[in-house]
Amino acid sequence: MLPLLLTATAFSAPNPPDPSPKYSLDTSYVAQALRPGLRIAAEQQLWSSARERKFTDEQLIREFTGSAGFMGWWHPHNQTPLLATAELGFRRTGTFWGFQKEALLGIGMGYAINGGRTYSYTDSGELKGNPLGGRGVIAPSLGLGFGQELSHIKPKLTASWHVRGRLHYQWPYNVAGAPVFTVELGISRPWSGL
Amino acid sequence: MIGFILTTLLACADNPADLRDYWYFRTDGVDLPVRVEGKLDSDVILLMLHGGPGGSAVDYNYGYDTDLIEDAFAVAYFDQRTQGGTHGNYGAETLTIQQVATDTANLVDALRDRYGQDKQIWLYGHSWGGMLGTATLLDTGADVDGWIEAAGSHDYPLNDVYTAQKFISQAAEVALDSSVSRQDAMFWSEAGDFASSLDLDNISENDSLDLNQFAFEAESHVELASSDEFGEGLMRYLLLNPTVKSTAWWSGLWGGDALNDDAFTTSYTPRLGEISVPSLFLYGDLDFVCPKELGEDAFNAVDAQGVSTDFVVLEASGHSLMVDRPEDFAQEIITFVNTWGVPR
Repeated sequence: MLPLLLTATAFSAPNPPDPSPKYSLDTSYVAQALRPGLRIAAEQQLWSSARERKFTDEQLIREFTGSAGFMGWWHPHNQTPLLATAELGFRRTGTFWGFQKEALLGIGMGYAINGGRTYSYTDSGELKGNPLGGRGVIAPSLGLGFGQELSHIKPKLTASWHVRGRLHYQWPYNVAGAPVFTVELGISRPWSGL
Repeated sequence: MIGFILTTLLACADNPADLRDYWYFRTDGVDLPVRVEGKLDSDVILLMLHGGPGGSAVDYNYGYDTDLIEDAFAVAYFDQRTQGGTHGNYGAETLTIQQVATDTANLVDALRDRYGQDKQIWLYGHSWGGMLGTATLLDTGADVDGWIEAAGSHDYPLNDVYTAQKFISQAAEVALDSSVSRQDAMFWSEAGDFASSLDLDNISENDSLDLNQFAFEAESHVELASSDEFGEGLMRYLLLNPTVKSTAWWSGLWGGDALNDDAFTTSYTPRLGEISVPSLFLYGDLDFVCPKELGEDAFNAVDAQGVSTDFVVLEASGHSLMVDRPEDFAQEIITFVNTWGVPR
């Protein structure tokens, strides 16, 4: 799934279907169905359990995590380009060629900033624009990714880095105008690392 | 990430002279997405009031007629509360015609504050937008310069009567015409029978909805004009529309139902003579959803007050007359506004 989503994102680079200036800022067809974006997150393990697979030595870890991050995405009309989220997730991790492979199901709450300014009248009757005007949203998401413990680089580091492809939706209002596919770059810390 | 955010924020920078300006207007608990496109230096802004209720103004932003109108004037598209891409926290008690009309009037002020007090602002409503535009003109004291009603319904009860009468007369005509296909004849007969069964002085809400459904279905049993540009507009609409249809449909359904309940008993016909701004009434001769007689009534009422007005019926056009005859539709609007618009 991840290579497929990454390929979709690659094809969704600006490639206007209509050469007229009016539509030149619109992105490609793929981006209309799936907005490409980026999320930066810091993740903390809250609880975990580990077991070994029956016929291999692979260790499977199931964990609940909490994370906080920012995500932005491409929108043809720049409506709501930035979302700050705090998320609870269920992550399942295994090993694959020396890397952690993982799947994650998350549910987050966030603040979606309206794309473009949000204008409103002040008490004195002046029309003022607020670049941070927006709304609270609930954002379920699904992710697949891989990572590696940073102790491979420096033995004292207990955290791990990860890269995830994630599919997000926002509720009750899909403020992005379509599901968002983000590439997430993040740092995860185990419970013992606190 | 930083580059990504900077690019996005730069794209959102203020530039009132830009032909494509996107922002939100927060009023009475709701954030309304506003898109202003077209020729702002014409000093004329047409404020689009979309149909439904339950639709989105963006739906009107992809037709060929739009390209032509935006070559002459600026057009401001906004989604009404609960509909399209609106966000907000508001209760069901705010889903009234009066509240949506107040939102519209507030937006008129905001458009002038943002783009200049010298801008003429014309309301431009389609279908349900005809009800909203009339309510805004008559019940809010909005400072607008003109009114364009395209296949609008400013009187739901009378709309139902005209639609029923049109079905009865069409069924009678078709019954005498042997060249009509069997399928068409069956439809007109069924619609005519249904219309004849109604008590026109007391049409229930359910019957009104059924009548409306027949009226939309009628468009596939008449010969409508077709524009060569329709395909391109449809592709743009399907592929470039920023509003996700599933979400807009879901939220619009709730708001649409509440507004329809309010509209079901709302009749502005007795007050149409109070309209005091230049008014253009554009209707399709094959529109069963909002029959042209509604426009004729409005024209007569406004004309009787000595206000500049015109009533135009586009032939071979149904409810979406801007799709059926985009060039003629746009030209009628451009000519009327250029003729009767008064610089501020």
